Amino acid sequence: MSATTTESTNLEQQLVAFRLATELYGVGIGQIQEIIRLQEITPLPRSEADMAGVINLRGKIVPVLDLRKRLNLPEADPTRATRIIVVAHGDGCVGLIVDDVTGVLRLPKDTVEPADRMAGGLEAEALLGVGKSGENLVLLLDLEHVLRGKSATLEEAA
Amino acid sequence: MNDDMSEFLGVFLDEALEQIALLEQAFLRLEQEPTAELLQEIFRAAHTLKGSSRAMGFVSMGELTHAMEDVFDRLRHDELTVSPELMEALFGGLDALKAMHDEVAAQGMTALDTAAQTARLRAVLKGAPSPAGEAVPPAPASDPVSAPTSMVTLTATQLAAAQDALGAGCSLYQLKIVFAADCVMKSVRAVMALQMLAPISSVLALYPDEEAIENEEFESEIEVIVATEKDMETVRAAVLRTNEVRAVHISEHAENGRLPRRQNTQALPETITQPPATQPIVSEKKTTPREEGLEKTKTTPVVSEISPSNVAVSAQSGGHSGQEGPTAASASRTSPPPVQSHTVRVDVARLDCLLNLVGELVIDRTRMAQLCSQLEAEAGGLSLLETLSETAGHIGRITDELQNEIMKARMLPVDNVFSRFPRMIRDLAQKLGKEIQFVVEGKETELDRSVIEVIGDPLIHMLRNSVDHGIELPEAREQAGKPRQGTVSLRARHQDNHIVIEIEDDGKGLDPEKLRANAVNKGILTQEAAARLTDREAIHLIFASGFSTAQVVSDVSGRGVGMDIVRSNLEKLGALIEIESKVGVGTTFTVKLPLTLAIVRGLLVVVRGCVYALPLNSVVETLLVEADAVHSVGQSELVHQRDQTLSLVRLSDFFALEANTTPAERTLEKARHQERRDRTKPPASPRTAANRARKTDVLEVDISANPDAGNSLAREPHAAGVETIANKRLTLVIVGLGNRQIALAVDSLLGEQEVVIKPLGGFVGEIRGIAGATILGDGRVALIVDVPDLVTAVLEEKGKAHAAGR
Repeated sequence: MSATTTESTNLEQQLVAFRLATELYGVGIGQIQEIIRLQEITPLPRSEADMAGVINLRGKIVPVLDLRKRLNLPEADPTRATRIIVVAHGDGCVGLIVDDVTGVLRLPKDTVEPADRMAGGLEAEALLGVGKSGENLVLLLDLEHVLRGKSATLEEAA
Repeated sequence: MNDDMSEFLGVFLDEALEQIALLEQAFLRLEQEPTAELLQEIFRAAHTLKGSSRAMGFVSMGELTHAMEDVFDRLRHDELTVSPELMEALFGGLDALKAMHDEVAAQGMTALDTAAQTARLRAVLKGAPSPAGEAVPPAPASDPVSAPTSMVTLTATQLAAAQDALGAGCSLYQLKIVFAADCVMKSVRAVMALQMLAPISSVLALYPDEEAIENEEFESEIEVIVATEKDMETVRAAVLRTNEVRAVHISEHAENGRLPRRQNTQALPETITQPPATQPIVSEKKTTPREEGLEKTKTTPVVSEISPSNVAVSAQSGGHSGQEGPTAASASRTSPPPVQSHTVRVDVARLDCLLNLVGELVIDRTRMAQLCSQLEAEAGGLSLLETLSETAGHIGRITDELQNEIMKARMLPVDNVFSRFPRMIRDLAQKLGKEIQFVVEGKETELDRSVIEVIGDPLIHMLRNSVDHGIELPEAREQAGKPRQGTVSLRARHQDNHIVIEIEDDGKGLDPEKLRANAVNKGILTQEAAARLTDREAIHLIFASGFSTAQVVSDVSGRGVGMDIVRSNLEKLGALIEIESKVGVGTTFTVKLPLTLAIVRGLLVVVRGCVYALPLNSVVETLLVEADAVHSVGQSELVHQRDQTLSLVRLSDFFALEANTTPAERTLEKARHQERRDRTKPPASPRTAANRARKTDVLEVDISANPDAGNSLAREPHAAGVETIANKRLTLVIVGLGNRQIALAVDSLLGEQEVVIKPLGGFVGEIRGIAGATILGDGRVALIVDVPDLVTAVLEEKGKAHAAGR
């Protein structure tokens, strides 16, 4: 899936925006397969702490990542707004737990700046950049990095 | 290779593989006992392979098979005798063919140079006494079929075959296939056209003969006489499917003469290069030819003394190679009377997909049954509900049947794997200077594809082991009063819901004393521990990692894979492996395999609110014990059961469930599903991969096989640390394979159920002790426990703990 080409024009890109802790994040809309409500997650034993477990998505077993933990954000209890964003990964897909999905937004490309100016608990390399949508800052999440990093640690552990 | 050839590549490869396998088996028999029929069979296979590889443009492959074919031609005319050099040359050629096949399969082409093998075969031919080594087979000039008339004719034998076919309700058609004037590879097109005909008809005769066609020794058309049950239009349509066929003239063939009775020509406009489905089929009186064919049937005397087996191809193939080819050979398979094939080749991926879909159905069936019983409990008595239940029950039964049928469709005879062993054993025996008779029994036993695919390697290693370590050298055998020739048997049979494969040799057997000594030398066991092993346990030492009894690691059994890998690979399949051995008499390995790997019966257990499935084939028994039946020894726990002392593993501890359950997750669970988790233990600190190794406290357990177990039990019978289990009865599931059993403590049992194994996927990676996941009737996900892996993990951790203790 060539996310960056399908949904983006030269001038702006379409993102699904979601909230994690205090920040607003965005992921290219083409990378997202679906967004579902939080459902029962079967924990996976002996796996990484940020691996929440697996869910049954219409007969498919889909692993779910706790994105807060993955990004070293403080843990929080789920609420009614908590969602799982399902993204394609390799041959299958992976779910990401987020606090809330706020909707789709268009981000003019010229507002995007490199992420290294960001600080805080967040790993800067997990971001593609920071954009501005109205008054809000949107952190563009580098899904490849988030998921690849995950797989790599697992491989090392195995 | 050109694009439209690629669609034939798959068929070509499949067929080539078949022919190569056939050749290999025939070669092995040839070495034992060359018979005329065998030579005929080999010759035909080689010829078919030659024809199809040339047609596909694999010239070097064609050259090589051509040389082989020539050898067989000489052999069957007694102009050459089977010699070791000859066999080596042939086997060498066969290996090259295999290599080429694999290359073509992988890359669509092959660059392998077969000159050496070809030259070797030619050299063997040159050494032959009679008609000096011209590799070219006798010119087919004397063949009546290739008579230089413009019309193809039937020879006497072909005529007999034709009459036979007519007797069986077939019609004879004469085809003139005209190729486009600018056709680049006429020979290829011609062979492709003939291949199109092969599945629906028997080619009785063709002009020019096949050799000439392959060598492109024809102008722009070829003529064919076929016998078929199909009507003219079907035959024509089949031929027209070949590219660059400009026109097909088809007419009925009067079996007693050369005059076509009815001309029915369809010309193609030359501009059209993709003719098939879109071509309007012009045909007046469609049924007429067929009817006439039938009429003819009535009047044709049936030549009954000609049996179907010697008609057409084989009957007239006497001394000329020219008449047989891919078409002829495949015709002989379907041959007169042409019976419509009752099998189809189905892509494996499609079967897998079907099985997956059925897997979904199986899950839904269970779920539906559950919903029905829930509904009945809540709103029983409604007649609508009754109907629903009935329907659900029916769907359930249909699903079961469907599942059974699909499982059957995926079954393959185990011969698919076994067939490659005779050659391997032969080569191996030769290399090692041993004399070995290899006996295969039950190769028709059927097994699911998923299992067939994976048992090959473990079996190879076990067979290698038997040949290398089991069977002695001929001299040694004689000294021991045994026949020079050793016997290795490979047997397969069904037993209950399993397949049992046995590998038996009458070699020197496993010597428990040597094994013990070896284990001590290698530092696997201490002197005392080794001494305490029973002979049976000692024999099983060959499965210990880092263990090899061969003084010198030969390149035969060596190959870097020990029996420990063999066992763990087999156990991954849910297989049980046992050894029986007697010094000086021989060794038998028994492997018990499940029939399929896709669906298993599982025992569902609950641990900390999560459901786990334990494959039933590894469950020995379940039992409820009082808490005081558990003895703690240091950090490990043991349970005494029926004269056995088993180490106890709490599944919750092994899977570190508490530790893995973070506050967020617990709240999540709480928010949606009430408090289901058992919270008798305080949550431990979050565990990471780094400190996994530290988790030896629960893993450091003894098992019965360990001689130290009884000892330490005596030392510390009732240690402290049992408070977590005090005043509680424990639900235990005894699991294990063979003599390695452990007791798993679970919270409760849910029952048995058929579960469809789904992989966790690459993102999750491998988790120790987990084989995959399945979806339960209520939609929840249950993890499937990989019992062999879990047992191994427990033993490994125990081993480490022991090592650390010393």
